[in-house]
Amino acid sequence: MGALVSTVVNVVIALSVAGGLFVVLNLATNRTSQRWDDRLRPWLFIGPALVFLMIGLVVPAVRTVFLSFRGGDRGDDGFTAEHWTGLLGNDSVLSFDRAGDILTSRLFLVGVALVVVGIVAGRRTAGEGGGGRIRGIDLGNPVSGVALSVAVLAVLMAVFSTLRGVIWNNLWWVVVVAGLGTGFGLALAVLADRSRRETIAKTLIFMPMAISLVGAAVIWQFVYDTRGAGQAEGLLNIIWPGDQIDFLRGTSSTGSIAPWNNFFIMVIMIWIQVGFAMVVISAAIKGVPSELGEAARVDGANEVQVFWRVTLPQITSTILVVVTTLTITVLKVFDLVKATTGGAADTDVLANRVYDTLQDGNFTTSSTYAVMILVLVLPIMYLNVRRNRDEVRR
Amino acid sequence: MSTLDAAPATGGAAIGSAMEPVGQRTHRVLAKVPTAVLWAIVVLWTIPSFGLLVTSLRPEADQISGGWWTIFSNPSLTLENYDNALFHPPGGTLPFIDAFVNSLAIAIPGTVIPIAIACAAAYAFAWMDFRGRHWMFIGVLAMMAVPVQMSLVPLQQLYSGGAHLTVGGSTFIVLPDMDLSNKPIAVWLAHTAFGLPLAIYLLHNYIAGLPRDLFEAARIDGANHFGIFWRIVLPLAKPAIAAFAIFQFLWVWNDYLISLIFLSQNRDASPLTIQLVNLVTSRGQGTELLPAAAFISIVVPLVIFFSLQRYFVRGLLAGSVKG
Amino acid sequence: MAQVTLENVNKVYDNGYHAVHDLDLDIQDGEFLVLVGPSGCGKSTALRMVAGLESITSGKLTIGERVVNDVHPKDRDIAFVFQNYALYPHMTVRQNIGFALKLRKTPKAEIEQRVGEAAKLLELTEFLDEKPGQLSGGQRQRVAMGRAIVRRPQVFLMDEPLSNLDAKLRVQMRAEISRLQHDLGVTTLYVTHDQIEAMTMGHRVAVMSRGYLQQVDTPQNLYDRPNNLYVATFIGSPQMNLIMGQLHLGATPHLVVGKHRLDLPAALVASRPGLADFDDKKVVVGIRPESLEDAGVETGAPEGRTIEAVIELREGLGSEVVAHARFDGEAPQVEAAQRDPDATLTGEQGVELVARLDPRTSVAIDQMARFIVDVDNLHLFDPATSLAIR
Repeated sequence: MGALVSTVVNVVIALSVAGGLFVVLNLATNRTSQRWDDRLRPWLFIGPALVFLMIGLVVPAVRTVFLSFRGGDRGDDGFTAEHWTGLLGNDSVLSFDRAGDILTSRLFLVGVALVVVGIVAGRRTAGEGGGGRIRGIDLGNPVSGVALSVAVLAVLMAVFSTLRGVIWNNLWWVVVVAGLGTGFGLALAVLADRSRRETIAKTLIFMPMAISLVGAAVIWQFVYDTRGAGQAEGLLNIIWPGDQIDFLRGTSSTGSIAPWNNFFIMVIMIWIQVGFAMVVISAAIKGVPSELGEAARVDGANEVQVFWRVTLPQITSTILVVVTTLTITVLKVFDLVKATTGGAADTDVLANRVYDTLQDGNFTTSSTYAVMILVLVLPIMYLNVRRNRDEVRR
Repeated sequence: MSTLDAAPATGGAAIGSAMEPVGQRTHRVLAKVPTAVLWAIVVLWTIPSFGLLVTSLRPEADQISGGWWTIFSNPSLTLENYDNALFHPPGGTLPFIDAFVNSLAIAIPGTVIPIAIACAAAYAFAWMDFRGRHWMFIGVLAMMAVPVQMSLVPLQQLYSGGAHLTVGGSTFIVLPDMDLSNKPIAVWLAHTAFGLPLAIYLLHNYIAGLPRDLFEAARIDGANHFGIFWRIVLPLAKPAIAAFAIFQFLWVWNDYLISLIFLSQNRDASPLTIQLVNLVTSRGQGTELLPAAAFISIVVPLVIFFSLQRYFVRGLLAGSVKG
Repeated sequence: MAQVTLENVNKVYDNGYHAVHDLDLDIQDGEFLVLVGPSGCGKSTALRMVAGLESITSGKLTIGERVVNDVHPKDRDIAFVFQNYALYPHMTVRQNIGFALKLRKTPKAEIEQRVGEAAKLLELTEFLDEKPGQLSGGQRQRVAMGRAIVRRPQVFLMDEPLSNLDAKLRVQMRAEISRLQHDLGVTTLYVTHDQIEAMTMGHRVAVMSRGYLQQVDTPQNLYDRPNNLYVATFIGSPQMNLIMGQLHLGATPHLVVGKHRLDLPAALVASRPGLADFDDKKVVVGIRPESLEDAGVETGAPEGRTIEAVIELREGLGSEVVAHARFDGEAPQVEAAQRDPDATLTGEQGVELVARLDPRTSVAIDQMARFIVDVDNLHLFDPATSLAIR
């Protein structure tokens, strides 16, 4: 309790001093001429933010990039790219071995078959009306859309089973969580739109967002647990046919289920983030003017077509926002991995490596991993800035 | 087409009667499917959390012997787990009541301070004119996506050693070593910096949307920027401030990484998240307290979430959906 | 109370858009001057320059005896009423009205008194402790007025304050604002796009179009003697009829419009010496709808004063009948810039005429009707410059 009181006292003092300074400086500026007022005052307002951002984000980020190119554990050893080549060329981070296995796996072949089905179905719909464009594939056709989506899933699963490594893990996280999370969110938003009492349902699905990742890890531990020292079986193990499986660590009495243990950790993340996707997409769906759908229905469209061709195109930008936000969140994932497996059993991710190497005192390698995360995030950053730039123009 | 008939549009039979056309009835049943599916999913979604709550109330022996669903045939609830977790957990774990207080000690300043700073900055970006305004704002936007990992190592060095700049043989002290490492202040200062980009972005969106003639009227009435900021913008920005405050509070309360990095040596100041992970990794000692401990750590966010959900959603939407 | 003078004022925006060209306007002390024109004509920009909300690119602005080009709005001693009222939503009516006084550190008692006065004048006393969100549109408008009045400024500036009110309320508030200005005697510059407001409220009206001042005069003068086609078609509803006519001076000056001949009274010719330059040339003839009467009602229609047209539409308004007819004549080719952008001028042969007729008229649709033209009140314009021929 003493910590709390002293903190509160500290904060109050700090705020009063800072606030008081702000007020005093402003009052002083009040007395200057109009021209000086216009020049000085913005800096009074921006100042504190600039200071914090520079010291807390900008300068450290630059320094981290700098450190990633230095040799030695603490960066005392001159400039070198050895961290980068070491990590990228090293099998543990980005390995392509077993790539050949992908092409021959059953899942992959199923995926290819579905792609063909999808294209054919799409061509037929687009070609109706005689003549038919050679390159026209009508993806609005539900059959085509579903077939291609499932094809993509199948191919992804085929690749997922074979490609491993820290960076690959991060990429899989992005694809699975951002993809499935958005997909589920969309499905739930649509479902909720047509249901009664949707607010309560949405609240309950959204609730996991309030829980810390660490808390979530504990919650799901009780789902994934195997009977063992000091604890009972988890819910999933009860339901799962066959032997007990340690879902998180990927081991069972009959061998490993790696790399699918990664997937089970991702499920936790999806559980948390779907609420976000659902809420945002739901708001967007409700924002589509109802007249558009009514006009389509009068024109003869059925419900599926109305959704696919009228609603969905209107909310594309929102879906994009959800996907990018989830991607950024996921690329930084640390808490969840640390609290479930600690990065062991092939579940390692970049953020975890940043922490682990830091604990070992290896500042330069840690920085390298951090910069890798930044590089992966850069395209999204660029998209975000571009999207918001127009709002800034005055 | 005559609309004067008394017969309903269903073709002559009242709804619900045995004479209702089959197609009509099927349609009514089918219309309920989405609701059913949705609620099935909702149940699935809440099972894990519900399971945690139930387990936390079961005595140690019961937890080991079987899963929480056996409670229905064998009810025996107890609060001893909570008692132990809060006041005397085994081993090197901090009592959760202290960890709770520590979390507050980090979350409150980590929320209040960024808001104050961001309001002023957001107002400046929205309604003041100064050189570099456009590019600085873009910079702030870009910073929203930068992962915190990019700052951790240098910040850690800064906290423990201050910052120096060596130019041509002589060393200047840019920032003195204030020995901030392993103190709560280190954590919430970091959170302030990390939370500022999003705060500025959200508040700017809102403040820039205030009607322009309101500001012009105030200018004509005689207010300068400070007066406008204090008397008009701040009162009107309350919804946005509330939304962000909740957001930020939850974010800081639930944070693990930043506290871990900056408080690793200071067990007495560590917040709930760190202690929870401690309990997890110390498998064997005190595992029966885990559910209760976890629940203690999530009860505040849940309360805030359920009571202030509207603001939370608003904050989320403001940041994600345009307009 | 003060005079407001704009001398050669220009506004050019950063992107090069020239919003106001060489504006010269002299508003007398205590005068109610209305700036009217369609959207985009520059009237709001001009108003905002007087307020100090926009900078003046070139030219001189004087309020009272001071040149105020670079003076901050709060020091110009002006009050501004915004189109959307700009009331502070989180403050009560009392606080809204008293805000400026509070900023000037006026003693509390005085604020109370002046706010009370203003509220009484505007019948807002019972609402003083409510917030704007709880008031109706008309009440909010009055609060905005109250905020302006309580400052006792030298000049009132109003930016389309009535355009957000419904029609009935607008008529009511028009009268109230006029009365208020009359009682307080404060110099007022009032901007609107509604010509009826302009005509009924202003001592003088300034018509603007595309950044240029077209004419400034009393309402009646604007109506009777428009300087150019723009003002002629902008003022007056229904709009003035325009037909091309061939002018022939000489012993019996007359116009040939379509197949008809209109004799011009000597007084009209005498008062327009400029007509001499247009002998045997084409001019634009302007006939106001009320200058046309049904020849069937007025007996004794002399030759040389009638035209015939086929009735297309007949609107009975009770007090009069508005008839739309198609006249076999040439419509003027007038550049868009030279006329009211909403004016109707057909491009093909045949002109649509609008006439306001006595309710006893018996004109019927699809029938040819004969109209008597009030030739004493013809307007004549130069087709090339669109200026009135004087």
